[in-house]
Amino acid sequence: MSLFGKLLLILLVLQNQDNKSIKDQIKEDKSPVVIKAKNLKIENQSRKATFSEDVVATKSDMVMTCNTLVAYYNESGNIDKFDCIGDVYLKRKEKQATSRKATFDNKKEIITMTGSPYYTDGENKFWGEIVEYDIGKDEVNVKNIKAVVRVKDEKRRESK
Amino acid sequence: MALILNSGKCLQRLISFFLIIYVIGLYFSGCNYQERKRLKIERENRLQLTDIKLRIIKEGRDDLKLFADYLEYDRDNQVIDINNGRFEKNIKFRTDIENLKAGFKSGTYNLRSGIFNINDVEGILIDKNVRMKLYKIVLSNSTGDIGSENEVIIRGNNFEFEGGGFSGNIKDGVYFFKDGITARIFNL
Repeated sequence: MSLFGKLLLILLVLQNQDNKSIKDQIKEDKSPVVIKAKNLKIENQSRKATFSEDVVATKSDMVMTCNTLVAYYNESGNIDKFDCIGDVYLKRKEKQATSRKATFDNKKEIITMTGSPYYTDGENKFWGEIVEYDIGKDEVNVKNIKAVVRVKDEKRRESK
Repeated sequence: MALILNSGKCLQRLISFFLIIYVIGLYFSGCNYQERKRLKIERENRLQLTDIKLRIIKEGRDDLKLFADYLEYDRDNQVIDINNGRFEKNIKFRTDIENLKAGFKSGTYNLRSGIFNINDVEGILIDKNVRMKLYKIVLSNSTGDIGSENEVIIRGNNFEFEGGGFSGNIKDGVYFFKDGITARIFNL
């Protein structure tokens, strides 16, 4: 094999390795939502599964707890969304949020929190009508915001 | 002469006596024969069949269809033992009538009670694209009640529920898991 051929082979191998790592990353991002609960009731007529007692839903490093979790499956056997109802608590690293209800959109991977949602990110605190959390982008959007933002002293000094 | 006559009568009586004994003997031996025959039939009342399709008909319609590689029918106890089988039953899902099909390794169906004890079942339909995998279940053909003390897995297209036992009704389409459940919902 010529030198050019060897180089081409090495390049191909490296490219495949890069592709693998990208695939692995995608897989990591596509980790399932794992729900643990004591009880489950499945109602075929309304195509819903209701989890109750000690409900904990996790997705990678995100944790959500609530009193009742209702998952809806469609005719194709897919769960498009689920609702967390009662004493909702969401946590991911520094971000924490509470509300009365949260809806998880499984297609967009967005959690919409309603019912007096309260969101904190470190020392920053937000109140609003709706708190939307994009899990993929790790972004929070608070609608009709009433916010108390406590900027860290260091940042305040920098801005001055 | 009188002696000859007396001995003739005596012989007649003797013959009559033996005839009665013989008839009684025949009667009793006949009874024993019937008893033996009954016992033999009882022993023979188990039918062993291979590659079987069995239709259980209720009110002129197929209520339950059973398919089996090997089937043993106990006529006295009205019990069917099935190995490597499959059952089909029409169940109403909302407005549609769906054919509930499930394959299993072994099972016992009681024709009197309509109770089906099944082991290693795969493919019991909850919805069109949602199925159950079970290891040991009791299913009532008449009421539709279903239950299991063992591990149960429910699989949809993008989700999986795993529990340690459940009860429910396939006709009502309601199922309860009370011993803890783990669900995995995959991204669409």
